[in-house]
Amino acid sequence: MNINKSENIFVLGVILAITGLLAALLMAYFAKITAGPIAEAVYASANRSLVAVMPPFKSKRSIDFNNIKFTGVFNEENKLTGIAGEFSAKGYGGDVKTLVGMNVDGSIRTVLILENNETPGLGSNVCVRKEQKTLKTLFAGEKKSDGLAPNRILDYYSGKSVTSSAEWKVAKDGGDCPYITGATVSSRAVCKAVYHIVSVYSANRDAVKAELFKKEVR
Amino acid sequence: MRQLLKDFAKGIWKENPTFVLTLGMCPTLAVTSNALNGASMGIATLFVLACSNTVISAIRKLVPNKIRIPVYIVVIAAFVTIIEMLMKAYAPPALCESLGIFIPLIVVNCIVLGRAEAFASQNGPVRSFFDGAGMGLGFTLSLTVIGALREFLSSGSLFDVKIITAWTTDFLLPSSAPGAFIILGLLMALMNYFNMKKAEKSGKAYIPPAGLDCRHCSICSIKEKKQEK
Repeated sequence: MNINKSENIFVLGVILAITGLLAALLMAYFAKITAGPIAEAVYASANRSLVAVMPPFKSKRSIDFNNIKFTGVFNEENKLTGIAGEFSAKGYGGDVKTLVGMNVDGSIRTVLILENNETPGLGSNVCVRKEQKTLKTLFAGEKKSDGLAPNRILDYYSGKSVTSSAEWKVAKDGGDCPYITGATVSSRAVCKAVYHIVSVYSANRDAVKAELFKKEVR
Repeated sequence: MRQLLKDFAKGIWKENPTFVLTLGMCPTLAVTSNALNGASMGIATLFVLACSNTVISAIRKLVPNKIRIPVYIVVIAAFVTIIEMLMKAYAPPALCESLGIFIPLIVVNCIVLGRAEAFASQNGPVRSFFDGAGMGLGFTLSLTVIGALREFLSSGSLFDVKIITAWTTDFLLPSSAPGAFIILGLLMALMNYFNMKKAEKSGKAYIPPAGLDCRHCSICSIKEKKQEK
């Protein structure tokens, strides 16, 4: 019997089934050996942004409050050491998802943009923290500095907190927040998102804390 | 041995999958926004091509003609799934994110199925492996060149390293899809030009790849020059 020219539906079915089975076994083997590293990578990527804006922490709890996702981080003694707020504001090309790390008293530690669709090379400069490697740094063998790369717009907010009732605005609209010429809309979105998170937290500090302590530790 | 070398080398220039066969245009245009993405996509495809070509060639006599395409697809899909899992586990997260959907889509990349049908189903495993590796390397080189050109023209950097530090504002055209098309076209033209010069030198008539030659176009004077001869 020449298997190559077989037209018998059962022979065809069996061969296809065997192929599928062998492929599944091969994939199952690889799925098994990569399961651990993949889970680690997923966990690390979920936590990476939080680690970047918060002090070192042991556990975290998240709640939704006024459309803001607040995540509280706790140290070994289960003491609240920092609050991160996540909120999206409309930018030029879509939502600018902003993460603000705050101290418990409501002053800003670090601002980080999680997602943006701003114009590459223009609006994206407002949002992206990226270490710029050059030939000079490459040959000098400079070590990559720890933590986040600087960004003029985002770093402006570090250390700030809500002191008066006046809403924060970019300088072009008569406020204090910096903006990049040609990317005013993106700068405005960042300013708006940061202000919203900080002001909501400052106004409802005790409510947010109480809600956080009600939640399960994750 | 010479045969193997020939099988391997033809994918790099003579039958380059991107510039001559014009296969796999979807990842070519989509992921080549910088050199690193292009190279990584190419290497992932190279791995799949070499493995699937070898396996398909080894089982070619056991597979009935009627169901050969589904069997090939299963083999290819298995290898793509494996490389996807490996990348998720060990590659930098930023790379996984930027290649994203294009890794699973290697399954339907015309280059992979094309080589399975055109080469692996008719030749032995060793030759098929070299054919797959050569094609994959040609694909990798093409994507890297396109990616490097696009990255350099748009921001003056290569592999994320700023070559020209004074280049402060990004030039948006090469980093967008239309720019990718233009660069692809220019590179194809350049390759045709080199091949034409080479053929002219050795006194042979140059036959460009189908669809990529002057028979279909009347903009420049190359066509008339050829006819005069």
